[in-house]
Amino acid sequence: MKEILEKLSTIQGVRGVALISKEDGLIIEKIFYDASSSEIMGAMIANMSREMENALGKASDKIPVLSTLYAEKGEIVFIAKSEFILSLLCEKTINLGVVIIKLRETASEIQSQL
Amino acid sequence: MDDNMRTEKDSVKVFVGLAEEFFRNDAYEQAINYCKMALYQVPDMEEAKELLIKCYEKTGEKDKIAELRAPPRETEQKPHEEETERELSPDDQEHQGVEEPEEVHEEEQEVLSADQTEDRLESALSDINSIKGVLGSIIIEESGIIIKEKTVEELDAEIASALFSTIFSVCEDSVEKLELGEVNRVFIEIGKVRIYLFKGNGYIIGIFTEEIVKIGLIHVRAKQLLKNIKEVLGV
Repeated sequence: MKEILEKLSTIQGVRGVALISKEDGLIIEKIFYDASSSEIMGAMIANMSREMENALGKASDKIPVLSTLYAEKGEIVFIAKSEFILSLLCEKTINLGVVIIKLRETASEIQSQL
Repeated sequence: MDDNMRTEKDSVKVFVGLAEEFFRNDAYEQAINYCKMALYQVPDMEEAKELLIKCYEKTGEKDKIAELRAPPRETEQKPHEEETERELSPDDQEHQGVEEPEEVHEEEQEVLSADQTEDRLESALSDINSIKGVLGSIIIEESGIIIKEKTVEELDAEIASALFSTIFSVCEDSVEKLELGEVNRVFIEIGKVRIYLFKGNGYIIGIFTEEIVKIGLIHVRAKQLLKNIKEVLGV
């Protein structure tokens, strides 16, 4: 699993990758350059994903697939599958187009392995 | 004050730039809208005036050209006076600028009636909706109250506005803990629908689009609208 995540972590501008259990927010696997970020990121992203699904579930029967958050000091991209959430913490300078393509590919690869 | 003035001038330049782009593409109505928005902020901006005249020449509105070429009335001279006051030192401004905010406030109240505000919002959302692939757009207050919506019938704007407000507050709570600063944009993909949320100046703009859409253009227009939302709403 770590090898699969490494493909994402080598993209320029990626500060960390985390594979999170959708049910409880626990980190299944992670690669982070800054250890302190990884501690809270799993729980935060699981929470955000759950809240988004709860909120949007009222307007649509489809769950949110891909979400991107643009903050002042960085960007968070995460893709939610049925059992897991694959998330990336990125620099502001990141090429988001490449990241999103790679994120989709990697999520499908993990899904097939599970 | 200087920063505000710079931001205002920058945003006005963006308006004129966009108007020029629309003019080049023969979209005169949209070019006129942007020129008007620029002139609303800087009434004596020659660049915008000239372009507006060119647009009216193309649309054949000669009476409006004559109006624009007519010498400025007394009330239109206020911006010149304001500019000279802006060049004074901060100490001088303290003594002389006491009456200025009241005058500006009065002027704004005169300029924007409820109908005009409605028209401006309608025009701003129509501009966004005119982008190919956009299904609808909505302006809400941070708290979730709808200001104006222009969406497809199937979509319940009230539910959407409540959801957008919730999404932003949840994201902000989470991102705060990661020390990433304020969240100003959120993009969500649900099936074949995309939702772009932009936040600024206490308002949220939500835009629904199809799968393929010019994201850059959406971004530029939403940012401009947020930047000038208070002028558009006249608050």
